[in-house]
Amino acid sequence: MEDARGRRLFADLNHAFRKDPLIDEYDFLPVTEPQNNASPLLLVEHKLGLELWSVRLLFRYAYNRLMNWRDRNQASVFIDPQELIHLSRAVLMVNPDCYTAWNIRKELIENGDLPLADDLKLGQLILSKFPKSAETFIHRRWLFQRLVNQCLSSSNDSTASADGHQENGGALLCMDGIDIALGPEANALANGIRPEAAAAAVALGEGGRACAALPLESSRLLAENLHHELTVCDRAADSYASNYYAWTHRAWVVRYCFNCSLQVLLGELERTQTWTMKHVSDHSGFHYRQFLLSNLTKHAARLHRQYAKSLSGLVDAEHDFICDLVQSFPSHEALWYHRKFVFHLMMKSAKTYSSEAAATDRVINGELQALHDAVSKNDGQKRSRLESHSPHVLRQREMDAVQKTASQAKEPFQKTLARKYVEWLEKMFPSLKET
Amino acid sequence: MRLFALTVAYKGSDGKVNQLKAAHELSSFGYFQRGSIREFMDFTSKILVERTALCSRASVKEQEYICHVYVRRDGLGAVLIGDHEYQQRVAHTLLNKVLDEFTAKYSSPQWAILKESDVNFPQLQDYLQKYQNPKEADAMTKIQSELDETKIILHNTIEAVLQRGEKLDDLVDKSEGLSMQSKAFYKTAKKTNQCCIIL
Repeated sequence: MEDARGRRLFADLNHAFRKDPLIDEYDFLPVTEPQNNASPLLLVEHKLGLELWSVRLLFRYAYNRLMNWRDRNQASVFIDPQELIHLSRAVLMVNPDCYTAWNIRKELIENGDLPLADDLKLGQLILSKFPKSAETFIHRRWLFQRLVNQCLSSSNDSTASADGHQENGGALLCMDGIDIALGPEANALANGIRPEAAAAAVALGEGGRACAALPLESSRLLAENLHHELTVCDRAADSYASNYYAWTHRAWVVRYCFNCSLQVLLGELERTQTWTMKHVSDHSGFHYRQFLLSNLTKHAARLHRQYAKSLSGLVDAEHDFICDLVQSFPSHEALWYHRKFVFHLMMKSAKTYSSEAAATDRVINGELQALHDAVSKNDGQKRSRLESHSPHVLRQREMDAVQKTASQAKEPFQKTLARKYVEWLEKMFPSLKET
Repeated sequence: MRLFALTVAYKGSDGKVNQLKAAHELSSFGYFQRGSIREFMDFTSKILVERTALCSRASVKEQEYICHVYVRRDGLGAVLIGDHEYQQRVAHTLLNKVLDEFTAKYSSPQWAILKESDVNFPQLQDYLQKYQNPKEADAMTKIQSELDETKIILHNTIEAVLQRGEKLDDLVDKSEGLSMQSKAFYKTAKKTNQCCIIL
């Protein structure tokens, strides 16, 4: 009896997806008892609602049938791939952390029974209901890994024969890469690069993953979905506070699929600024910015050459940004943690800067007093910049600012956080006077 | 930080509350939940104006939401529902502003008899949108000294606002403003909070 109802529900679900392939959201409706023989599925404006009582029946039917098939010890029933696709979809829509079902889908993709794009779509749908489902993100990474590998392996196969095409293929991929410019600022940036720098970027594949003569399908899929993947992460992060899974996935996409391309890093820095401003207690968002900044620090020279941006300028801007947030939105610990990170980065670059300067300019010689005297003399501009960025001055300025916050803040928790920050400063950068 | 609902209501001398206008911003919720959440926000706003004494302010925490309420000496009140990141002072400044503007448009004898459908006060929706932007909120914090010195009372749950012997579950049950679906939504939400697995 239950089985028959489960089968009917399963058929209803498949019918709903056939009727509207554009379903982009689903939810369980709080109806705990079946009501007058009506279908428990509701389809409006591409949103699918399932009455709660039916979810259990549907899941039990699909799960049992799928697992019976999977169980190799039994004389297993034959199920055609199309039904397996539907069964695993039904299971995952109710319980997205069932990795056996995801694995079945992986096999279906490998056998060519399931188009990869369909699985990307299913994952996105599931994230609308379960925005922090770890298994769903893991499966997406597998899909993207497969796409990237397909691109790479085919380029290896054809490197010998496709020398002529190399430039073309690489350029093609890079045009996609440039399309990925995120936000107006990034566009301006892309336009602002000198032509030869752009050409160099093209030759590099803007990520080192120059793939010649990609199989058209994978490269098209990759180009279409990579950009979109960041939006998927945006949505998941929006619908669940402190969504660590969404942000680590996003970092993985930037690292693995975009190979930390500078353009993407800069675009993402721009794009996530508003988001973090609106989610001041969400550490995951700030942690992502820390990931971006750390990766940018590795390429300071190229940043300067290709984008005419100085690393210290970016870090200073981030410091201004976070200090402003700390003042405007008191008592949020996540903000103070980010401030620690940014200030640490500032000190690090200040130390390298001053040691480089000391090496080239013997007059300064790292001695602070000499520095003060020298400022008033000629060449003052350069030195005053050097002075204002010396670790000692930076530390003092930060210390003064935080102590001011600690004494002026009205909120007790903000005071506590400021005091903790002072302790951290003293511990991290204790004896700067000698350096 | 997000704002979800902004409501103006009048509390008569008999304690009855007349909702005059409400604005909502519920796009961050699931499609099927919006209707019920809207009803619940109205329901909560009404309860809060009912239980807040004249001439007082309160900020009430309920799960991840904070409801800011202000009822003036003349019985006109407003409620702003936002998340915990939204600054309290800014929220209360906005309540002042909304009530001032509403008073300029409709005079006090009308408050008890006006129906919500007849009230033309589009500014409410505008404010709800405009104040979502923290930059806008930022400008507000600078003039926070304008806020009168009425103390803001803090409560940790809605239950804390209720009178002795009252239960939220009972109020939900009895409410006429909540549809059957919303009541079912409330019950299942309560159940699933206790146990995350629906099976």
